[in-house]
Amino acid sequence: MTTPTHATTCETCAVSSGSRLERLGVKLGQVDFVVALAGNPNTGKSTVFNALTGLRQHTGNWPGKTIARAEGGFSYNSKKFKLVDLPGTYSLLSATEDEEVARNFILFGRPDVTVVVVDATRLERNLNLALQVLQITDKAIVCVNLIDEARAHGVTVDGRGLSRDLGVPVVLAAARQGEGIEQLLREIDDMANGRSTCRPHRLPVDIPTVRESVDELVKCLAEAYPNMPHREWVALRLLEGDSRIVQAVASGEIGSLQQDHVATGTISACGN
Amino acid sequence: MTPKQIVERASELRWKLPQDYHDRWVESIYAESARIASRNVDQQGKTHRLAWERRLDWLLTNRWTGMPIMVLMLALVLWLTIEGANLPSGWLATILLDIGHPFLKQLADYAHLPWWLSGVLVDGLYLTMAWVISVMLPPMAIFFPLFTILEDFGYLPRVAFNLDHLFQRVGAHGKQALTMSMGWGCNAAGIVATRVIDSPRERLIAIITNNFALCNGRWPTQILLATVFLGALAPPALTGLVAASAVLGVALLGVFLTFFSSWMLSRTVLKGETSTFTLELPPFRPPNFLRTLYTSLVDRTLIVLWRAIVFAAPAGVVLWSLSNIQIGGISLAQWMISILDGPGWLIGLNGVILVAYIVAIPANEIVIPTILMLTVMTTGVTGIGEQGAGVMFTARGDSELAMLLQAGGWTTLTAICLMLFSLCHNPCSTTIYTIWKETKSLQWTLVSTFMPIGFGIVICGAVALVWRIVGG
Amino acid sequence: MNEQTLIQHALKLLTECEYEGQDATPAALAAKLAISPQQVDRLLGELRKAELLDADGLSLTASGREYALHVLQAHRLYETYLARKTGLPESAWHALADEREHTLSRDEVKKLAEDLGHPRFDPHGDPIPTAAGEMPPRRGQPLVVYPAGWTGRVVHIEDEPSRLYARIAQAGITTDTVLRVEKNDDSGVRIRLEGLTVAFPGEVAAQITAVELEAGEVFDESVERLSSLRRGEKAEIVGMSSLCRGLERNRLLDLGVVPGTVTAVELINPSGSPVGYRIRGACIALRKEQADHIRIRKVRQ
Repeated sequence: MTTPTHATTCETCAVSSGSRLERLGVKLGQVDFVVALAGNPNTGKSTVFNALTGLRQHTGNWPGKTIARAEGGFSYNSKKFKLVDLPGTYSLLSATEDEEVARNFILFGRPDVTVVVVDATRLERNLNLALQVLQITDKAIVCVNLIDEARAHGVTVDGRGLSRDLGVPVVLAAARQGEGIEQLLREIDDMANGRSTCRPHRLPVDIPTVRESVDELVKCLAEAYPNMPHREWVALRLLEGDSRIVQAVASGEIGSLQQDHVATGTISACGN
Repeated sequence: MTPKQIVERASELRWKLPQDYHDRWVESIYAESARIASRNVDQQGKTHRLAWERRLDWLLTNRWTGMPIMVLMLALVLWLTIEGANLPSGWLATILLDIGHPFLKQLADYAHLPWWLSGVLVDGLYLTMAWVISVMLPPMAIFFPLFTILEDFGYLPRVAFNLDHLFQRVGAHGKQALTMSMGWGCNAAGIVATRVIDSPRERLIAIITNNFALCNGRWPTQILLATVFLGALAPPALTGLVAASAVLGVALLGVFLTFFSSWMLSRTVLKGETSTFTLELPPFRPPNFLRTLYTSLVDRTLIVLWRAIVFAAPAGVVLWSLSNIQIGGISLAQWMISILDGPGWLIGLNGVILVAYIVAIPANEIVIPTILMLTVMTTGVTGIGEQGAGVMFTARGDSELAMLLQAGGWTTLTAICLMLFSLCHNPCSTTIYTIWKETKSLQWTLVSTFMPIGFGIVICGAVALVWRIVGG
Repeated sequence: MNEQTLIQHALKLLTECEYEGQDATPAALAAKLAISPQQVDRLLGELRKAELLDADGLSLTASGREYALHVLQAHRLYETYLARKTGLPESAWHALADEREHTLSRDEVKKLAEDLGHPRFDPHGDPIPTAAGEMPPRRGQPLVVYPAGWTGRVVHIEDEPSRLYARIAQAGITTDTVLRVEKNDDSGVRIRLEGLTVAFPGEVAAQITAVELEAGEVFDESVERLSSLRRGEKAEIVGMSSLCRGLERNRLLDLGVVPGTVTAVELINPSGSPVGYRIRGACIALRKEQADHIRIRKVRQ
């Protein structure tokens, strides 16, 4: 397991690549990588989005909610990134419209990197979503935002330990002040370019009868789709009768979702 | 195993699972989250929340201070919007209407455009667009940033918390208080904002009833009529007060109708829709003033411009054409007016007003200029608005306006009924389009469109009937 | 009621009697279907002619049972659908399902079962027959037979007549409710559950079927409802009532209303509802009806 953990803020780094962060408008022609931004509501996800793109959201953000998916772009180390802001959700299990948009984008859109924004002051609640995201993607970075607010509340978060437990890079940030954004950019760049790999923490299913059923389905799925990622999660969704997943399994779509980078052209085909 | 067999096998296996396994799965994810969080978070001191946050929360939701603060905030936002918009609205009107319009007219003359082309383009299309922009843009650009700031700060969820019990009684969601207030700025925006309501039934109720929130395009109509007709009935010292209470009365009637129709809907057509309630009260956070202002300004400008071009401009063309295309020596507009005069009389209005409302479906803010233009056309009053048929204008003073409308046969009843009708009629086409986009349902779009106008016909008809019986 | 509907109703009733091990009589049928004895006779004649009923007596033939199970499946699935996917009140479910059971085709029933994730029990705890016509055996006995001091779990609540059902629903008793019989005599049954004491006349208590607690399970006197939590008290969430279903249940679970979560009152609306509870680090406002469905155990400070 090679998990890069630069979990402390890095203002003293020799190379400040702030200059390399070329701020782009939202009209992106050819992009090299696609980055998805997921998170609970009220975690300052939009602030992170703005800090990364340096621009207001493409779609007007009416009070309270990001409309469907806002998109923006930035350039880093001469590579162009497209950033997609997913609707804020508490979970990916309820199959409400928002959750489906977010889940389908991560699962079927295969973004190069998924950044999960979590609130440092309410880590326990927010990790619930992060763990669910880690079930359906291998390329994730957890951005612990509002670290300044946490400090004001007397809360300290151990980024290194969190990264070890989650199996993905963790960045502590205060997006409003721009703290940690540089490091987040570097992590995104490393992951998108394949310079870092991670082994996301996958929660085992340890409910007695469910365990056996999941195992059986995983075996069937492995035979039918040898390259399919996240078999255990798919098996669970099949057991729940999640119609979108049932359909993806029946049509064979699920088998084509391999680990490797899929051209960004597929992204417009999913979500809403 | 084929994919189909796997799916079938999954359905069979489902029978063996414990009934509460979804619950247990969520529980185990939370348990794991808690485990990881407790390992990596160090909490110093005992309080999770700072003392000032607690005190503020108490202040904003408590029985004695919660309500007054809410009313004060709302009044402040509306006052800032109306007062703050006056100046930039004036500038825009000067630039776009007083200078821009004659200039383009001259330009058309130099280019030797045929009269009808210059009429359609400059008098119809351009003038309507310019009108919509100058009336709509400033209040939108002030109202929405203020709302965004309140939202960012975390105040709006507290309002929903305070008012939820009222909305619950009529089968709606507390957050409808927010979408309703946003409707006071713009109904289309209010309808987009219903996305914050995550329960399908309550969201539909909020969408369908949003039109009863008097929008920005309708406030000026109310204020104008209240001042010219109702204020004038009172002694001069009380003119302002009477007018203001009349407008407030109509706005409150709108709130009452919102509750009434929500109650009606939740007990009839929407009885079977899914209903849930969730409301998170987020921690207070200082809003980012500059970014909010900038974002809102740019966004709102874009939306208003888009609306002016897509919806209002064609309306301008239609209006000009109706006034200028003649059949048997009488313009189409006049034909329509004479046909609609009868039905209009029944609900205390007249043909001119109904034609104006049909033409103004795309943009409510052109109702008054259209009425004035059509009135001049039908009455033949001279001295004002002599720029030609199909050219909208506004009166230079209240007395001039009163004179003109009285010449058109207006009475106090007409003004009262128009105020009521302005509250209860179909939403503007931007709003209808937004409802369609948000609900993706023809049925609900039609209900939202025709329910208010049904209310309007009944209310205006009843008022007119009673007025005529009582007044002889 | 037209002929077709009447036949389906009669078959359904006969199946239910068979399942519950009761003897069906023409008189009982007449009462349940609200028709005269003569009409019952004619109806039974029709059923026999169509070979849905044995030539003598009131037992169903194989094809009669198969047909009846389809209607039963449609009825119970439709009730489940109404409970999970719509906001209609419980009192409306039965009547609506009684109408729809006759119009749903086999394919539609199959689709409904799939959409609902093949539920096994309807919201009243009645088993839903599978497409193959299987049903798990009936368990438990009516509450009236249990003596004072007995503790058990509710497995079924009869939804007819609605007058009696309404009283049970009002008390918030659902399938899965764990309760203790406090008193059982001529005047009725008094039970204790979730920090409440409820008294029912015998005819109401007879509608509730309950079974013994499983090994290791105990009736926990300290379990109460979240709505009873006062400011300054702390509690641990024990679970959610099965009255809270579908989207609503999933939403609450996602917000952290899961067993083990420690909660406290943070903000109270002056009217008493909603109340803001601290749940896993966030302040979540819940209405009184929602808090009624959440079971807690108070934690001593």
